[in-house]
Amino acid sequence: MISKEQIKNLAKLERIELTEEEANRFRLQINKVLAYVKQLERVKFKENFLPKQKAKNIWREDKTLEISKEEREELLNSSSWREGDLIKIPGVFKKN
Amino acid sequence: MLSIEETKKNLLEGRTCSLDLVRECLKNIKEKNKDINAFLSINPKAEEEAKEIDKKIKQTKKLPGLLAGIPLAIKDNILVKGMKATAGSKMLKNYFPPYESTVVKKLREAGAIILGKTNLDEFAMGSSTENSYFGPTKNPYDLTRVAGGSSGGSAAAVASEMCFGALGSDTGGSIRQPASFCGVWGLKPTYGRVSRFGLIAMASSLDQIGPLAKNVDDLALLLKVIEGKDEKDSTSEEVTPIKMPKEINLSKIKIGFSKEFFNSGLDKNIKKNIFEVLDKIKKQGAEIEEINLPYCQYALSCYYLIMSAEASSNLARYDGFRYGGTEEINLKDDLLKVYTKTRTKCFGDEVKRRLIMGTFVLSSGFQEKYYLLAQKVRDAIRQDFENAFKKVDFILTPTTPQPAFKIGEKISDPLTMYLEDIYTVPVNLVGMPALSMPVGKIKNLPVGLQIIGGYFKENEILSFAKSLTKLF
Repeated sequence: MISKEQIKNLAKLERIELTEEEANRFRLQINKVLAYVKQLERVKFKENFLPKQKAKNIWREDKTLEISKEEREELLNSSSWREGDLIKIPGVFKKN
Repeated sequence: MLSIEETKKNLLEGRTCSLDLVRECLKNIKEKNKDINAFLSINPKAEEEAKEIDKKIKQTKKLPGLLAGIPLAIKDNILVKGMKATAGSKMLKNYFPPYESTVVKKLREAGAIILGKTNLDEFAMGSSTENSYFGPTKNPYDLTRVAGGSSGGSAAAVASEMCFGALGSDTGGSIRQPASFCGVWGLKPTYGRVSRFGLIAMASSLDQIGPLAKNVDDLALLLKVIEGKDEKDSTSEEVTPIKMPKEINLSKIKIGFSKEFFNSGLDKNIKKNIFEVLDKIKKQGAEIEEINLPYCQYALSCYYLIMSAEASSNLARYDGFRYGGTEEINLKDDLLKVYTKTRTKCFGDEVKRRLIMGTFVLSSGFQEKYYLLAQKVRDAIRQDFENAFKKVDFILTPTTPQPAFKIGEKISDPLTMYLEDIYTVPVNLVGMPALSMPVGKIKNLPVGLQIIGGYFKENEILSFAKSLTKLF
């Protein structure tokens, strides 16, 4: 089972802030789901069970695709702040 | 409302025009959408596009494409150039995609008119469309009930004749469950048959785009247009093309019946209804064989672990700057604070829960214990189904354990809501195709029959389903 502090910490990793009420509510709800999921512990695999690896990698040429000027403009315009050909965001580091 | 094939005939012979079809749909939307809330936005150019098609038909005396002039609706997590794609989230309420999804490109090439975008649970996370930032979609059969989800808007739009057909996406039942609740047809294709390029990703190993329609022929036609390998989606595959469904001799068919799909959670009236269906099929000479899918009982657990893990990774990209941006940004804050503020304010409860759960599932300790186990069980379920299809042609189940439930009934208890998908999620885990078709009503609420087939057996499923229609 998962504690309220764990919930808050996981939310922090997801870049989400929770109120006390939300943390409490999510803890109850997620614990209920986890209690259900615990049924997986009961799974008994047949003795000869072997997972079949079906996944395969699909590759493509590593080459640059040109896009039109209009598409480029549209992409830049779909950000919240633009300065020339740059997307403006707050600083990552603080000034001394 | 006529079927697409009949309407095409009328278009060709000049008894109707695309503009009239569009106006008829827009009239229905205007009358009904304020109650049902199926559409989130309307294509302002729809009438103009219809006029273009009409001109072409008049000039050439031919239909320029398989869906020429037919008005369709698109779930709002599928990108249509020139229209917002909100995914039902505050996070994307200003997002105008700079490119078009492959499926919409194909629809347009076939001459279809994109009428508008339909409501969904935020980022397709839910089974009732109640998780939409833009309010729930209501069931056309009973406005106090949900339309199902997450493609609830698409299903309700088709059911209330606001469009001739629609696209949805299905990660754990999101096409089939709302189709069942709204009394329409819905199909989740085999993983790989339809390109997901331009679908806002939720859980990439499970997501699939598919059609919703009024009847089996329309369903097949829509699938025929959107399917096919796409170099922009590396998981898409070369496929045997979809043919128009033809009735088959039911006496040569073997049906799989698995008690895992008729467990204690199943509404007794639905159980009765589906048993009656099975009886009718049996009377036509089909053989019904009991099959064992022992690992299927663990499917929902597997699904919630795998889906939430993949979703938490896919939704990490929403930072508030890209995809239209949000108004929650103060440039004086530092970057981390902006991320946190945006995601806190712009994601709804269900999204937050799944992201938290996904991060937990992938955290050290839990990952080894459960996530890897879930992957192993997923493989066991796949082998269950593969073995079953060595013996039978189709597996028949109810689409949902209950008919459409009341708005608000399950929203505060996520686990109860998740149990809604118990008959549909195994199919996504194994990647096989499945269809939901209406097979009657209980107290005016539609009941859906789910037909599951082996990999890329859509043609067989559609023809089988067509043969069943005359039995009801």
